[in-house]
Amino acid sequence: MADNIELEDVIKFENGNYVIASDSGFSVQDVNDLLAQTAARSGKGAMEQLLALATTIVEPIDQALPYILTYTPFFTEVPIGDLQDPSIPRELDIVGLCFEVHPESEVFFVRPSFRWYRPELKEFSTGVEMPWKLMQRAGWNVMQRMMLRATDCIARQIDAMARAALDGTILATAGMASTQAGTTLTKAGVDAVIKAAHILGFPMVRAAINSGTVTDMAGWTAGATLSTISPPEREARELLQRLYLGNYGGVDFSSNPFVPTRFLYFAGQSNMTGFHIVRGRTRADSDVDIRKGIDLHAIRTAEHAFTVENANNIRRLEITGLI
Amino acid sequence: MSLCTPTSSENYYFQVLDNVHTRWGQQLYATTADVVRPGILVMFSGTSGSMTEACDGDERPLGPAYGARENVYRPMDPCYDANEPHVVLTGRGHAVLGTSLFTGGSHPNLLNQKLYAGANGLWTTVAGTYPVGRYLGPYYHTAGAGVGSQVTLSHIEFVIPAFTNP
Repeated sequence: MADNIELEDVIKFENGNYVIASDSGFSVQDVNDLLAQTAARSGKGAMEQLLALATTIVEPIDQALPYILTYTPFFTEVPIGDLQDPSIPRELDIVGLCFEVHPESEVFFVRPSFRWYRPELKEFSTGVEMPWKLMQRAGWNVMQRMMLRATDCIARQIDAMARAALDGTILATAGMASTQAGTTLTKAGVDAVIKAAHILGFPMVRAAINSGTVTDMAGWTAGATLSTISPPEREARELLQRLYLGNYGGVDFSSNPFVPTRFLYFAGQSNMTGFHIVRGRTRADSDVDIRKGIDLHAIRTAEHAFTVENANNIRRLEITGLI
Repeated sequence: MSLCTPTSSENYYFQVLDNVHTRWGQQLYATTADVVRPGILVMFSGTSGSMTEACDGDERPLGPAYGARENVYRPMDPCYDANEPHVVLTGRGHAVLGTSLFTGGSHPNLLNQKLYAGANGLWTTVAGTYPVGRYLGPYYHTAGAGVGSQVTLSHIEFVIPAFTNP
C-alpha cells in the first residue's frame, strides 16, 4: 500500500455516517495505517485530519442556564456619549397654583424652577486567560463556554444594579411593597397589587415571577374579589400544560428561574418608570502573551446607571413564607 | 473529602486573577503523587533544586503550585503525579482561594490579615515563620442553577518570596 494515504481516499460520507468506501480498494487495515500515520503526525495534512477526528468529541453538558435579564427591561435605556452630561431633569413640586378668589382679587403668580439628578455610573469588566495548550487539548470549545460564563457574570451584575434601584424606591415609598402570607402565590395577593395600582392611576403592565412560583398558586378559580369567573379555557389549559401564566389583570407575567421565589416585581410602562443610562460603549480587546503561552481577552462594559423617576410605577409582592 | 477528589470543586478553588507574577516551570517536578495540586504551597524536596513537595511551614515555600497536568492524557484529577512537571507562582499577584486551601478549612476573617505557609502546603493566618501574602477580603461568586447559591472565596495577594512583611 502506498505510504501516503489520504483520509478522503479511504472513507466517504454515506447515509449520515463515515464509512470505508467499498470501491476505494482500501481495507480496515489501511484505515488503521492511516490513523497510525495521523497519530504520528506525519504525512501531508496530518494535522488537519487529526482535527477532523477531534470534531466528534462532545462538549460537557452545561450545568447552568444563560442568564436572562429580568429587571433591566423595566427601565428606558438612554445611551449617552462619553463627553455628554448624564444629568436627568426632574420636576419640582409646585404649590399655590390656584385659589378660589373674590372677583376683585389680584392673581397670585407662581413660577417653575428646575433641578437635575446625576446618577452614579458603574462599569464592569471581565477577563479570560486562555492557555494555548488547553485550547489544543480540550477537544471542545472551551473558549466559547468560558466567554459565555464571563459575559453572563456581567449580565448578572448589571441586572443586580437594576433590581437594587427598584428595591430602593419600592421600600422607600409607602404602599409599594405588598406582602402576602403563606408559601404559595395567591390570587388575592396579586389582586391587591393590581387594585392598588389602578387606584393610583398607574396600572401595572408587566411582572417578573419565578418559574417555580407559577407551579404553586392558590385561589385562582372562582375568586371572591374579581368576580366569580374561572380562567378562560385556553388560559387554564396553558397554565395546566405549559405552566404559562401569560396575561392576568392587564399584567404580562414573564417567568424565569432567576427571579427569587419570594418576590414578584411589577411595573407599569417602562417609559414611565425610570432610566437606564448607558455611557460610552462596551469594548473587547485581545492580546497574546508569548511568555506565558496564553491568549488574553478583556471586556470592559459601558458605564451603567439605573434611576427610578416615578415611584408610583413599580411594585413588589413578597410571599413571606418563602425564602 | 480529599485533596485530589474533592466533593465540591469550590473547596480547593484556586484562580489566579492577574498576569504580572512569574510562572516558573523550569525543571520543577512533584516528588510524590497526590500531594500537590494547584494552590498548594510547595518547597524543595531534598537538595536537587528541582523536586518539590507540599510545604511544611518550617521551610521556605517556593510559592503555590499551578498549571494543568501535562504528563497524563486527559487527567481525571488535579493532583500531580510523581515526577510530573508543574509551575510555581512567584513574585506578587492576586488570586482567589477556596476554604480547603486554608489550615482549618475556613476563610480568614480580618481584612489585610497576613498569611503564612502552614503545614501540608496550606495557607494559614496562624503566625508562622514564612509570610506568603495577605487576605484582601471575601470574593462572592454566584453559581449554579436558578437564582444560584453564593460561593464565598478569599481574595488574596500573594507576595513570594516574602522575607519581610508582605
